[in-house]
Amino acid sequence: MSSSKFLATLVDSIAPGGVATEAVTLPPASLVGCDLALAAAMSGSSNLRAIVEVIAERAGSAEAFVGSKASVRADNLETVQRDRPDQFASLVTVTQAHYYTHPQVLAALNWPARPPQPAGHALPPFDEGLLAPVRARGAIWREC
Amino acid sequence: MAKERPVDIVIVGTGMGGAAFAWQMSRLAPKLKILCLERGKWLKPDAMRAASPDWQSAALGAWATSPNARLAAGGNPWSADYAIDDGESPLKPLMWNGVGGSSVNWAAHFPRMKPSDFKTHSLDGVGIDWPYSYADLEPFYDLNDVMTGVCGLDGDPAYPPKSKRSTPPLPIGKAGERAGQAFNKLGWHWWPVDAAINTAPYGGRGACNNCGPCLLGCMRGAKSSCDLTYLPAAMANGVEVRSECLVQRVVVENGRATGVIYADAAGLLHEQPATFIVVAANGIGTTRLLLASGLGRDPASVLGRYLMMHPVAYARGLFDDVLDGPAGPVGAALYSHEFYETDVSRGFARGFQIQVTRENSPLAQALRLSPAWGARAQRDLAEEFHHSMVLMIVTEDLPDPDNRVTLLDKIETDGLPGVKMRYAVSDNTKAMIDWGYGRTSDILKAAGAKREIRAPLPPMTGWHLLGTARMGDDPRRSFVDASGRCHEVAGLIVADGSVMPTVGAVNPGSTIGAMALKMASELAEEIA
Repeated sequence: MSSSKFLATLVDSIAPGGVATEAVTLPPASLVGCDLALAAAMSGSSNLRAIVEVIAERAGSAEAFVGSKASVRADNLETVQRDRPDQFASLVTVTQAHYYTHPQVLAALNWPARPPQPAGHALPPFDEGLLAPVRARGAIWREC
Repeated sequence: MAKERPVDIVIVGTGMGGAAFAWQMSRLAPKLKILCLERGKWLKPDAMRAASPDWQSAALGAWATSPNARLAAGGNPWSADYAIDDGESPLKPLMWNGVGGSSVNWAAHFPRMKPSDFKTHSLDGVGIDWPYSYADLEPFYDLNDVMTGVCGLDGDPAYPPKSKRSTPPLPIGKAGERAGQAFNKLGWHWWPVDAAINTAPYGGRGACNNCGPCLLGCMRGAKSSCDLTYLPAAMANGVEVRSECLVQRVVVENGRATGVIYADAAGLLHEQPATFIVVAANGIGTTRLLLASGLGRDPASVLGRYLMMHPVAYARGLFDDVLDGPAGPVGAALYSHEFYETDVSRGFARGFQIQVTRENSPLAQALRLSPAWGARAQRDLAEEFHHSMVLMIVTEDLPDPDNRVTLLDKIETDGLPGVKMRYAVSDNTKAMIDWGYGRTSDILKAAGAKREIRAPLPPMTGWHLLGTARMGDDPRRSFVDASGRCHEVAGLIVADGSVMPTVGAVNPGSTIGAMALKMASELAEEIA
């Protein structure tokens, strides 16, 4: 069992992908490289290494985690989250930070796969006509 | 320690209070030598992250709005942050500690307080009255708007008449239009926000292109941060701004503040004598510096007490059709003041505004879910992203002496004692949020939402750090007088949101700037 297989299964448990809504089908995390991002982050973080080890230990071994059903893996992660919330949150953040910034995921969410600048976003100008009922009501501020 | 040449006025902090004070003094008393000391750096647009592929994750780490989060991520080189012990506060402090202060990473919603906000005790029997009125501050609100550059629409019936805004209102998007129609259906007040954002060229700066993440700093300079507005104007008048100068102490001799001690970027200490010392480092930074300087030692002193923060509660409505997503300035679209004033039948004193804001980035929205992982989280995110209307209940926070800022018994790496905030959300605020959620449900129902998601009191909303050096005429109940002058020692002025006796239910930037202009006018009149 390679650790890469374990990490791929782990990130796919965090962001499994699939049909999310009628309009949105998301890729699994390993398909967009979250396992590699996690491995890179682990090399500089003892906290991340520790929480990943705990997850494997809780399953019996990395192989057992990979070989278990999705529901069993989810139970495992829920237990670890309850026992070590801060470390688990770091794991989720690292995984999701890579996932939700990946162009393939943003495209799946129907959102442009580019940073906000320099293009910005086009929005129509404000329509003052919407305020007609507010104006018609008159002043409401409290005089004092 | 190097002894610097004396100046007439030294100002600690270059956020809205310090920057506005510096500019106003420089134009009304042009012969005075005015020096601003700022612990952080000038932030360059090309260092900001809105054009970077990592913009979403940057907002969680070194570019977070929380100084503690930035420090945990290794720090941000532009913001000279200090740790704040916030373990006894459900709301976490947010700020920027660089040139321009928190106007650099604010959302730039720029409402004024209202006439009744200055008289809560007289009108409603809660809080404390200000030593002056809305009418006294109004000309300074007007001047502050001109200097800052405020987009919006004059004629809001929830306010006394205001001058024409500098540029037209922001686009409110599909979600904003739907919200406006819902308010109309209910017969409730709403209005597009006043925001310190250019929607057309103004003040030598360009227009916003609705990119969204204002809290990362505005690369285009369309958002009116003080490093782009007041400070360049003040410097053109001869004000000196010394960045990377960390003030550690106000020097007090024989009952008068006579200068400050600061450390420069190399850590060398300097003594800077001044005739007047103006402190404007926000409700935590100002309190920390003044307490560390030996002020407020009397157990009866109010310094550090009455911390107020505007607790907020979110309600998100989900819709089947596609709305805006994270397009448009994140903190600002429109607001309602329908429930701003006291109505005793509601079961609480004072009131709240409802702001309609924008969606966050996909990553921020994903991490807000609980749990934030697994198939269910992905379904929830896909259902919400690009399909939500965001309502925010912004409550008036009433002054409570037990909500306070104190020093810790240890010296931090910046040479100042550590600082702690202790804060509890009041029963009045909780009642306000409970009742307010009934109104957000009304709005979302009228707008046709299929589902409502509530997030009361999210931790990362402690933007407004106010009230800890409050002003008043009675030295037993206030730290400074109506002109910001310290009751305890001469020559010391506080010119930031710390002095606000009450805070209304609106963002304070506009009021902080107006107060600072007023204080500077009064000082100039006295000494010029």
